[in-house]
This record gives sequence, C-alpha cells and structure tokens, in this order.
Amino acid sequence: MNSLILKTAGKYIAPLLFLFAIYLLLTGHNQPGGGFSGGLVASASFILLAFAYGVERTQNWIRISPIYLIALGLLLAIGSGLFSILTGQPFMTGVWITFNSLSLGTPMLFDTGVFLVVSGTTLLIILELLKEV
Amino acid sequence: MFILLIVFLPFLSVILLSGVFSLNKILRAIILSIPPFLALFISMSYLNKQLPIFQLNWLPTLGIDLYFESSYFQLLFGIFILTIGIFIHFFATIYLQKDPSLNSWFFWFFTFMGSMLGIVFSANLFLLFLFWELTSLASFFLIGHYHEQEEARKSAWEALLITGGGGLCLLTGFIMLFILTGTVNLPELQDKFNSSESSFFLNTAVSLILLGIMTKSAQYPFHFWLPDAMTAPAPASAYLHSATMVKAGVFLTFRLSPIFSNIYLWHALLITCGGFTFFWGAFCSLREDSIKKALAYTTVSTLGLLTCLIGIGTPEMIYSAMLLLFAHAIYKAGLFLFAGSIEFSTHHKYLSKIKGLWLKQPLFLITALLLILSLAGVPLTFSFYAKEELIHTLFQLDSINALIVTLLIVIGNILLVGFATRFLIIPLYKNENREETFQFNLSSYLLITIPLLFSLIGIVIPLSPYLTDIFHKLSPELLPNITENNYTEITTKHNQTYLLLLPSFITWVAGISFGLYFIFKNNISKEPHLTALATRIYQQSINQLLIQSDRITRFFQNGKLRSYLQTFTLAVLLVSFISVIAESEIIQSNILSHILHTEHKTTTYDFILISIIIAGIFGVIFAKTKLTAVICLGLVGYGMAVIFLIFSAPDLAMTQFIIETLTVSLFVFVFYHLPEQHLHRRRFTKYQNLIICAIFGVVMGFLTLSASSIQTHLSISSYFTTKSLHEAHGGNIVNVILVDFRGFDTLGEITVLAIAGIGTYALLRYQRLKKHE
Repeated sequence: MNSLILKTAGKYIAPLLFLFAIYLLLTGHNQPGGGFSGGLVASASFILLAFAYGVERTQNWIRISPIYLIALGLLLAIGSGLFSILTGQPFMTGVWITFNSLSLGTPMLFDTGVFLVVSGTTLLIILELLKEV
Repeated sequence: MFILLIVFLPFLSVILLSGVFSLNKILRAIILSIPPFLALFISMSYLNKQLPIFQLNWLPTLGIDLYFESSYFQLLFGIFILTIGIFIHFFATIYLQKDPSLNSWFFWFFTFMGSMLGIVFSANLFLLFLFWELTSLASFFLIGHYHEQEEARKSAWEALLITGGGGLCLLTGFIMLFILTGTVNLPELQDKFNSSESSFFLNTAVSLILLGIMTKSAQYPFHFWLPDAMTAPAPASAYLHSATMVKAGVFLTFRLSPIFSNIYLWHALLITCGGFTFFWGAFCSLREDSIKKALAYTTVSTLGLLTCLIGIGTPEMIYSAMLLLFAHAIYKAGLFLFAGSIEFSTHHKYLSKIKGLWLKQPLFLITALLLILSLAGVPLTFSFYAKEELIHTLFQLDSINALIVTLLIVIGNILLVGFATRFLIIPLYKNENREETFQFNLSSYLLITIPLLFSLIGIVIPLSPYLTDIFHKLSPELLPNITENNYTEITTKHNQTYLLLLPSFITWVAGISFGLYFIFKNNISKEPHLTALATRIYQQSINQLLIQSDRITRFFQNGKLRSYLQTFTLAVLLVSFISVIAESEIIQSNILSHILHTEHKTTTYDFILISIIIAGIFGVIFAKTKLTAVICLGLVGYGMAVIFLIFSAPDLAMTQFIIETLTVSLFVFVFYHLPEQHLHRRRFTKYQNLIICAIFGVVMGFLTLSASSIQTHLSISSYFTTKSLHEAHGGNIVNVILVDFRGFDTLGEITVLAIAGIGTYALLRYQRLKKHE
C-alpha cells in the first residue's frame, strides 16, 4: 500500500493512539480501560504504521521483536505475583504502597504485563501476516 | 537437611555440567564427581546413626509433601547407587570419549542418579512417583543415546511407553490409596493398614501399583523392553541394571511389602509373576548370542527371583532378598561394564564373534572368571553367601511354599550356571578366521580395571568381617527377635552343615552340563517364542494405535476450513443440545419470566441498532465478494459494541470496538492467503449450512436466555462492589476483577494467548520461509 493520505494521517494519528493506549493502561484501574484494551490500542497504532509505511520500517520503530514483548509481559505478570510471597501472603495477593491519595500496587505491574502480552501477540501475528502482502 | 542434600547433590552435577563444558576430560570427570562424592560421604557417615527426616508441606490438600526419611536399608541402597554411579561415571568418561554428545549423556546420567536417590529416600508416595517418572524420562534419553540408529530410537520408545504406561497405573493406584486412607506418607500408611480389611477397591489399587512395579522391574510379560534397551551405551545399561531403574520397582516392593502384608492378592501376584520371570529370564539368557542381551535376560531372571521372595514376605525372605539385591548390583554392574570394555576393544557384541579373546588377553579372562563365578554363586563370592543365606532360611521355613521356591531356585540357577558356562567357554575357542586381530590400547586397559574392581569387591565382601557386618546390620530392622550373638551362631552352624550345600552342587553340575549342551547344539539365534509373543503384542498395539489415529486425523483434519467449522459447530451443538433438553423445564419457565419481567425499556435506538445488525447479517450472507462480507461482519460487531454501551458496559464496548477493527484487518490479510474460491456453492450445501446455522442460533439463543436467569449460587457481585475501592484501590470493578480478584485466571488467559500467538507465528513463518525456498 502506498497512499500519501494514509502516510500523512498515520504520522499524526499513530503517536496519539499510542499515547491513548498508555492512558488507558494507567487509568484503567479507576475508569474504563486497562491492560487488555490498552494493549489492543497500542498494537493498533503500530498496525496503522505498518499499513502506511510497511512492515520493515514499523519493526525498526518498535525496536524489539514482539516475541520479546510477550516474554517480558509474562515475566512481569508472574513476577508481580511473587511480591506477596515475600510479605508472607499467598501468591498474587496485591501489595500496595500509598502516597497521600495515590496508591501504587502490584496489580499495576500485572496490568502492564497483560498490556505487553496482548500487544505483543497481536503485533506478532498481524505483522507476520503483513509480511506476505 | 542432610537427607535433602543427598538427594539433590547429583542434580548439582547436572548444573555444574554446563560450567565445565570446555575443560579437559579428566578434570571435568573429577569436578563432576565431587557432588556425588559429597553425597556418598554424608550417607556413609550417617549409616550407623539416625538421619533426621525432612518434612515440608507442599500441597497438603492433595497429600503431596516434600517428605524424605531414611532407614539403614535406604541409606545402604543410596550408598550403592552413589558408589556404582561414580565408578560408571569414570568408566563412561573413557568409554564415550569420542562421542560428540557426551555432555547430554552426562546430563541425563546425573539426573538419573538424583531421581533414583529421590525414589529411595521419599517417604511420600506422590513424591516418589515424581522421581519415578523422572527415572523413566532419563532412561529414555540414556537408552536412545545413539539416536541416529533406528533401533535405538525404537527401544527407547519401548522403554518409555512401557515404564511410562506402568507409571500411570502406579499413580492411579496411589491416588486410590489416598482416597481410601487420606494419606500417602509411608509411615502413616503403615499404621492405617494394620487393621483394614481388603476390599475390591483396595485390591484394584494394589493390582494397579503392582502393574507399575512389574513394568518398571521388567517382569514377564513386560520384560522385553529390558533386553531391547541394550542398544544403550554400555555404562548406561550397567547403571540401569545394577542399582537403578529396574531396581526401583524392586525397591518399591520392599517399601510397600509391610503395608500390604495382609493382602492376599499382593503375595499371589508377586510370587507367580516373579517365579515365572525368574525361570523364563534364565532360560532366555541361555539361548542368546548377544552378550549384553544375554546379560539383560539374567537381570530379568534375578529381578523375578527378588520379586518372588518379597512376595513370600516373611522377614527372613526379605532379608535374603536384600542381600541378593546388593550382591546382584555389584556383579551385574561389573558384568555390563565388562561387556562394554569388550565392545570398546573388539567392536563386537556377540559371544560367537569374540572367540579366542580369553587366550589373548588374560586380564579379560580373570575378570570374566571372577564375575561369572559371582553370577553362578560359587563359594567365596558375595552372591554365594547371599544365596546360601536364602537356601538356609528356606530350609527353616518348612512349608510347601518353601519347597516350591527351593525347587524353582534350583532350576533357575541351573539355567544361570548354564549361561555362565557358555559365557566362559565360547571365547576360549580358537578363532577360525585369523585375519582379525583385536586392537588394545591404553584406554581398553583402563576400562577393564573398573569391572575388575567390581569383581574383586564381590569377593572381598564375604572375606572381610567388617564388610559382612554392614550387611548383617540389615537384619535387626527386620528381625528384632534375633540378637546379634544368636545370629552369628546360626550362620556358623549353617556353614558346617554340608547338607545345605547340596542344592548348590546340583545346580553346578546340572548347569555346567546344560551349558555344554547348548554350546554344542549351537542354534541360538531365534528368540524364544513366549518373549516373541509379548513383543509382537506390543508392536501390534503400537502399530494399530498409529494406524487408527492416522485414520481419525485424516478424517477430521482434511484441510478444508469449511468442514472444520462444521465439525466444531456440530460438536458444540450436540453438547449444548443435551443440556438444553436435560434442563428444558427450568429453561422454559426462566425464559418466560425473563421476557415478562424485563427491566429494560425498549427505545427507538434499540430498533435502529437491531435493524442495522440484521442488515449486516444479511449483507454477510448475500455479499458477492469476500471483502464485502467482512465489512458487513464488522457492521454486526460494531452494532454489538453499541449495545454493550447502552447497557452500561463501557469496558466491554471499548474492547469490542478495537477487536472488531483488528479482526476486520486480520480477515483481509487472512483472505490474501486463502485460495480463490467462489462463494456460491451447490444448492444442497447451502441448505445444509442453513439448517446447521439455524439450529445453532436457536440453541445458543436459548442457552443465553436461560443462563442469564439461572442462579445456583449466591451472587458475588455485591462482594466485588464493596471490596473493590477499599481493598483493591480501584474504581473500575471490571479491571479490578481482572487484575486483582481474579488475577490468577487472567494470568492463565494471557499465558494461553501467548502460546496461541507464538504457535500462529511459527506456522505463518514456516509457510513464508517454505515459499521462499
């Protein structure tokens, strides 16, 4: 595909989409969103780029292979569950630290893991399919 | 803690292996043997003391504990495993010196050693099973080491399938025991069984456990994997036969015999099976030409005898079985290593091919003589001592059982002595074709020292009072009534009774003449047909399994996406149809109440949305091109997303939107890969599809309607709403459930997602690379 419209639009829309994905991930605990939809949006932003500019350039932008994203995400998800073992609670109990009104906890890490696995898997499959075209 | 060290130190060697990869061979061998040496040191220093148990709850609800204990017998067995293992390790370093995959062999060898020690020290049956399966796995790799040869692959599979299948039976038996008694910890199990009556359930459990034991320790009719496993490198066979693998089955019988002592079936099966195996193994060994195979049959035979003795189950019998076990471990390790060094030096595997070897190499003759004397149980050897102990106790038993067993032992030993005669005499012949000379170098002399050492150990033990004492100490555990003094008195008395030597003399005379007869008869190549029958049954069932699964696969996996979808839909239909019919009354009333008492007020939006969705559906059906169909399908999906939004599920709606977008683009690219095909098919196919789809839709509709109104448990949604903000710090309950309350489920889901993704990637990549070639 070689469309000037898509290329120009993609240049502006894709970063915004990716930003939106991060936003979804971060606010997901309190508002609609979360790791799953965030991950999908993030992969959608890169797929848009892949449509416009081709797979190879997109892969250069992502820098690391989606398969590592999957591995990293799984490790993060499992690792986040291990924190509670250190405090003597069962596996995957949430551990929280609260600063004033902001609470940070291991579920956030877990959600990031979900984000990475979902976006990694989607990118892995769709980019591989796109290579053929 | 020390007991844990003994079990896990060999695994340390496995880890060390990667570190010493590039070192020189001798240094590497020394470093790798340090952990087993340490374990050996620990177990030796605790031999006469009580080693504390180690118990840690692992999965208490399932009865799985990390529970190790040690008795004198267990420690002694552990010492045997470690000592023989270390010797074999050094032997293998020389024997496999030119092998490119030496490291992988050592990897499995040390894994094998550790898991065997695990079997020996486990006090929890499930834990024992874990190590049991690990030995099966490791032996698969050890047997199949020369995997370029088809025969090696085949026999490795055979061993894995038979011992693994037996392992499954064993696990089922253990689970049944757990259901029956609530525990599988051996010490507790013993208390529970003292009073319990035998029932059908218990008998089934016992026979399943026995099946596991019999496959592992190669009892008839499962014995054929052991001779076939001789495709393994000689050190592997030596270890498998002497202290590990096949002895695991015997060892488990030792452990379980006090627990099952009240159960008739246990004794009956062990005695009959063991007795026949003893006889049959010895008979087969007499006719086999391949050195290692013949030795394997003698192992089968000894295992049969051991099983039979444990089956009789009196403490005296078990004591002599233990002695025999250790005696056998020593000389059998020696014999296999000896066969290995013959193979290494002469490159021959058959007795008839090594004619003249004894005369050329006196060192080989001496080793062979000493080892074979041990096998035949000639005076001065440890196995003679063990055998006399056995005959002595048999004479004391004074029952019809004892008489039968004595008779059996005499016959079996005649056959074994016959084999021994053949083994000694055939290589004494002159070699007819003189062109061939055996090559000997330093390595072959180094190799022969290790079996020579084993043969000497077999002779030293009965001579040294200190060493015999080690084995005597086995008896107080079993025979608390007999004090030390009393015991030595009995043994000295028995040494003076020459009458007791009578069975032995009969076996020697008859055995030697039998052996000579078979040498002159000289037709030995054919496999005895009872063994051939067992092999054929195994092979037929494996072949049939392959043929049938191939047939089934070809029927379902026919390469047409359409028929996959059809099969899938019909299967789901069948399952859900059954449940709809089974619950039809409840579903009827539920649906009625659902329609009558719905809270949602229908608005014009709803009508517009639904008509868009229906239009989309018709668009899909009547679309002229695939692209139009995909776009119409997208319309249906977006319509659904808006419905989610109306029913206040923004999370779901958002995900649905993104998924829909991605799916449409995915579809477009998938179609690129699919062959060009016309959407219009024959009328019959169309009607067929219509009927299937209509039924599927109706059933799914019914199920959805009924599922939303059936509530069998208390609603937990209030729990989530109250706890979400306070305990999980989250306002979005859906997300809190996903990442916190039900985080474990999500972890499973993303794992599945990752696996599916990588699988799809692999398939696509494979296709792409194939196209480029």
